[in-house]
This record gives sequence, structure tokens and C-alpha cells, in this order.
Amino acid sequence: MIYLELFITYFKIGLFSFGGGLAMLPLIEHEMLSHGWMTHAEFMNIVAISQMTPGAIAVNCATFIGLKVGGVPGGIIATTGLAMPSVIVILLLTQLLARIKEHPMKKAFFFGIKPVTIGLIFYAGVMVAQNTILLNPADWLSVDWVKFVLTGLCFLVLYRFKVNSIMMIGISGVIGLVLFGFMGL
Amino acid sequence: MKFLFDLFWTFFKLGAVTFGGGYAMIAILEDIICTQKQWLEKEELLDIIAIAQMTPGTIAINAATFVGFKYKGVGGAIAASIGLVMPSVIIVTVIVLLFGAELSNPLVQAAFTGIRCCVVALIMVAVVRMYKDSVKENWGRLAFLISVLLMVFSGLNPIGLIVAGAAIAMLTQLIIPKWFSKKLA
Repeated sequence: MIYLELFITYFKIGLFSFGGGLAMLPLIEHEMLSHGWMTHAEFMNIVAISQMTPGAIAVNCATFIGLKVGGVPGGIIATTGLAMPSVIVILLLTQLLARIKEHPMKKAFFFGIKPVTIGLIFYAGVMVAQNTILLNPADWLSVDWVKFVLTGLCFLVLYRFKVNSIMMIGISGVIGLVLFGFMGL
Repeated sequence: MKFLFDLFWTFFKLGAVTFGGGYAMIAILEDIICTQKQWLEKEELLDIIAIAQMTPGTIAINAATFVGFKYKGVGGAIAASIGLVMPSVIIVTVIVLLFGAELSNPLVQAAFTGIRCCVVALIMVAVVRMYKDSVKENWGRLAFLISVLLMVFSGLNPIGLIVAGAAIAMLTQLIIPKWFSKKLA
């Protein structure tokens, strides 16, 4: 029963992947290869497409692979399997956190993780910048100045004028199309 | 029912525009959920991100479940999560059915280059806002700096960093002061 196998596999991936998106990829690849559902090259292709389509990378991967293995119902079943552990775990956790509302230990815990979390988000931004603005991701001096200026302008507009982020994504897509597509910069 | 649909629709829009996975999504979550809808405080969002990092599954699904549950219980959690993953499922399905997993059109790539520049700016704006909002003491500034440096230079597991931040805060705020007061008494 291919649908059940897809569901169980993606449930397992959803349950054992900590740290979100990119951290999930090695686990997903391992499962796909061991089931013989795809090759390494196919997997890399799907990762690239997942990063270009909106939504969480893991969700996109699940839909892709589900579709490939079991058609449209396969895509839906794999995605449901992936999302289900998150939903269950968070529901249980919110109940627990509500019960220990004002415990000093809880306060200290969240006080401690706040700056670390902001640091992690900053680092994620640096990683995306590395792969976008630099011509060679390993060399911090190989800056593509057109992209650098575009990023800086986006930052200024978003920070100063509180433009809706969704609109800004659309605008930058059009700018990208003009600059890097039609003008070939 | 109206609010349930609002939850679904807001997360549907989020799912439709977040390119680049997890952390890019956090920046848009911050804009839409905290600033525009005011469903969550920035502090609460940071708590959710930290929890999402430590619990299995994708960050965005965890956040959707959390927000949905906070306002409308289990039904809200499910509505928000389905809203979030639905655009991915639809878009990926359409792409596969139309193009058969090929998305290497140079014009599409150009638009995505522009979008990625915007994503970098979005993440950095979110970092600046969150930092201003929740890092107010020297301990926080130091913890932020150390986390960034450790991520850049050691490639440490982010879960380890979060746990360390929590442990240090609990030790310095509660356990060690308690131990000292016992010794002195």
C-alpha cells in the first residue's frame, strides 16, 4: 500500500527533524534513497525547485515526492503526514506551557533563549546573503554590487516606510526580472 | 467562523509568498502577525521560534499551529496549518503537472534573484526590530554576539545553542542565587 508507506515515511520525517527546513534535508534524502523513490540527482533537483517555489522547503519536497510516487492523492497524503507531528506536538506543548504559566523557571528559560534565537535568525540572513549577493559564496570579497544595492534599498524601504512585506516580495520579483532578466546584469 | 476563515486566509497568504523556507518566513510572520494583525507580541513570536527550533517539524507549521490554537483552539490550529501548506501543495502540483519538475527558465531565475535580495532585507529588518524590542541588557547583547560568532565559526547545532542559552539563564538567575542564599542562611 503505497499511500500508507508515504504517510508513515513523512510522519517519521516530520517527527524526527528538528531545526526546520534545511536541517530536514539529510533525513528526507536518506528516506527517499532507502525506499528507492528517487536518486541523489533527482533529489538535488527537487531541493532546488523547492527553494524557488513559495512555502516551507520540507512541505514542497513532500508534495513533489508524493506526487511522483502516488499522483495527486500521494502529494496530499505525504504533506499531511509531514505536518501532523508538528501540529500534535505544539498542541500538547501549549497545554503544558499554559499550566506552568508564571513559574520563575519558565521565565528564566525564555529570557535565556531570546537573544540566542535572534542570533540564529541573523545567521540565517547571513547565509541567504552569502548565496545571493556573493558571486562565490566562499569569498566574502566577491560582492555582486547590483544585488548588494538592491538588497540595501529593500532594507531601507522596509525599515523606514513599513511597506507590506508581501507587496515588497512582488516588487522585488519584478525588479529582478528587469535587472537580471531583460537587462542581463 | 469569520475569524477562523481570517486565520486560514492569513496563513494561506503567508504560505503563498514565503520563498526560501523557515527563516525568511519568520520575517514575514513578524510583519503580518505581529505588526499588522497584532495576533502576537514580538516576544511571543520569539518564544514560538525557539520552541519550534527545539520541537520536531518545520518552524512555519509550528508557528501556525501555535497562533491558531491561541485564538480558536484545536480548530484554529488546524485551519491555520492547512492554510499555510495549501499554497505549496497547489503550486507544486501545478508545476509538476505542467512542466514535469523543470523550472530552469532564465527569466524565472531572474525574478527569483530579485526576490532573494528582498528576502535578505526582510530577515535583517526582522532581526533589527526583534533585537530592539527584546535585547535590553548587557547579558542579552553578549549572548546575541556569542551565538552569531559560534554559528559562523563553529557550525554548531542551533538546538545546542538554544539549550545552552536557557541553561545559563536558569543557572545565573535562579539556581546559583538560591544555592548562595542557602549557604549564607
